[in-house]
Amino acid sequence: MPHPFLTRLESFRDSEAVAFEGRSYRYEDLLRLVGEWRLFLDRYEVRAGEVVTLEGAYSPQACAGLLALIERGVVVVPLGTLPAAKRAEFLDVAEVEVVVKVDEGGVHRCERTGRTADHALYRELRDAGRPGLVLFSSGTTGRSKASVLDFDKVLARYGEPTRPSRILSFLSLDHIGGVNTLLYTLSQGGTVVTVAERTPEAVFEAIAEHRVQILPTTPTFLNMVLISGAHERYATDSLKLVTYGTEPMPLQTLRRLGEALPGVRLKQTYGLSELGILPTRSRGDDTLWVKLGSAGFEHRIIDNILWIRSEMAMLGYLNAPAPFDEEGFFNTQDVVEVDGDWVRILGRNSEIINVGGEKVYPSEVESVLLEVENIAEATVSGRPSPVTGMVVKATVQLVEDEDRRAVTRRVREYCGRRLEAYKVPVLVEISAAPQHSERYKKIRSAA
Amino acid sequence: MLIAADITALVHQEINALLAEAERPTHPTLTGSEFLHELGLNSLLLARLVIQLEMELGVDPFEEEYVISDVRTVGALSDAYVRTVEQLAATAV
Repeated sequence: MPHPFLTRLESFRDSEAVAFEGRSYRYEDLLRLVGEWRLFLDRYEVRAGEVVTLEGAYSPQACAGLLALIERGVVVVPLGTLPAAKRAEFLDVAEVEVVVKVDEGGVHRCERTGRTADHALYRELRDAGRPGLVLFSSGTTGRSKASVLDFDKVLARYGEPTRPSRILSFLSLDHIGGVNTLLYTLSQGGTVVTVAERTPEAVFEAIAEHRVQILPTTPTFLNMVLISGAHERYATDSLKLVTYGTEPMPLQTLRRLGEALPGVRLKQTYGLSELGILPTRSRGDDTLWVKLGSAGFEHRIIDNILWIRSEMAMLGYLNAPAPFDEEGFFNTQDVVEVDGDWVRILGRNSEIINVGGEKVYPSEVESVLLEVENIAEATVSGRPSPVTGMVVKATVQLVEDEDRRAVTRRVREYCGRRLEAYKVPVLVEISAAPQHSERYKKIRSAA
Repeated sequence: MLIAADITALVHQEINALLAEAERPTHPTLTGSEFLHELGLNSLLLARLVIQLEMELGVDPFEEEYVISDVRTVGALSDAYVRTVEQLAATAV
């Protein structure tokens, strides 16, 4: 029997579901692809409760694969393109039992890893007969943290179809924002427009060609749009709403954007993979004050820190203690200002470095830096950047004297092979002094 | 003191060094009229360029005076650095 979410999609049969690389897929086409996935999963005997990756670039086939895996009742682990060591770590942490890859062109492959997933959170999902979702974020100890969500709770967030919109999917399916955009749009009978590359040119070309109404994105990307002038080369009259989140928005960028796209509503979103995406209302297009929605969410502010309770909150982390208080509120670590019902998010009260919306924990980069030849000690901190908000800066102590440029080159080469691009230190400084305070706590003062 | 031509040459040199390191096509003869987005600089490379130039020139024009999203061309980027270095020199006199 089809999952209720798929039954809903059947009612949109003739509407356009996905637009990708100049091709249009109606809901009927998407559901046909889901049918092919069903046969594929049968062939490889993929069963409910198993932990299964979905790897590959965003495509209609990947979207259909996600729907088929939800229907099958598995725990889905969506993964983007990752360095080999990182991918191996993720498969290990998530105890992946089955690897499913979608190649360019839509061909999919399936392999069993030989592992058996037996984590208590997986048992909880299996006992309840519910599909799951595993999303990764950077971890404080160098290992990424894996949040486990109940997929039925994620889907329960989407109400009756009232507002079918044409939405550009900017974030990939290994990000809560990407999953949310896809499933919300489909739940409303709308159209997901996907692009093969996330450049301002490709995105704005797609906006014009597919008459996109909503663009969910990040401040760094919007900065790059303004620099490129892509919004001036393509028609944007279909665009009604630009949403931005995942990192603090510089007020200057917001104001420039308001001037560049007059008549387009600008709205800040707030979401975490642990909690889902909160509905928000911006006080105005040129302000960073927002009202956090209450449907399915509650928030409280303690000592200027935002705590949130969510109906669709994760069950917990696979590899870290669950950071909820006894009432189920989650400490977001975001510092906020308050003005009546309005809040302004100032950024993380932690060591996390936010590079263009991607989160970097210093200790992960530090542990890789210590593998680099001639580095005795390493401390990683954030440094402000007008382009990406922050960049990663490494301060290192050397075993033997070496030219700074040579060290920088070696650090970039080594880290580039081991870490995602945004985690690679942009700036490497050589310190002669020990990088500890007297109490042997690392000194990570921002530059 | 660095003159405008030196600063412009340095900006061009750093752009090409970054592109080469990222294994992207370089542009040996930049005139200044090239659009930054056409050179293959993504947001991370552009962020690195700004940091690299600050290390070389000791100034960050985007700290106060300039807004990065207003800069479209290589020439506009060079100008931002030339003017900032000139202002700094003038206030130091």
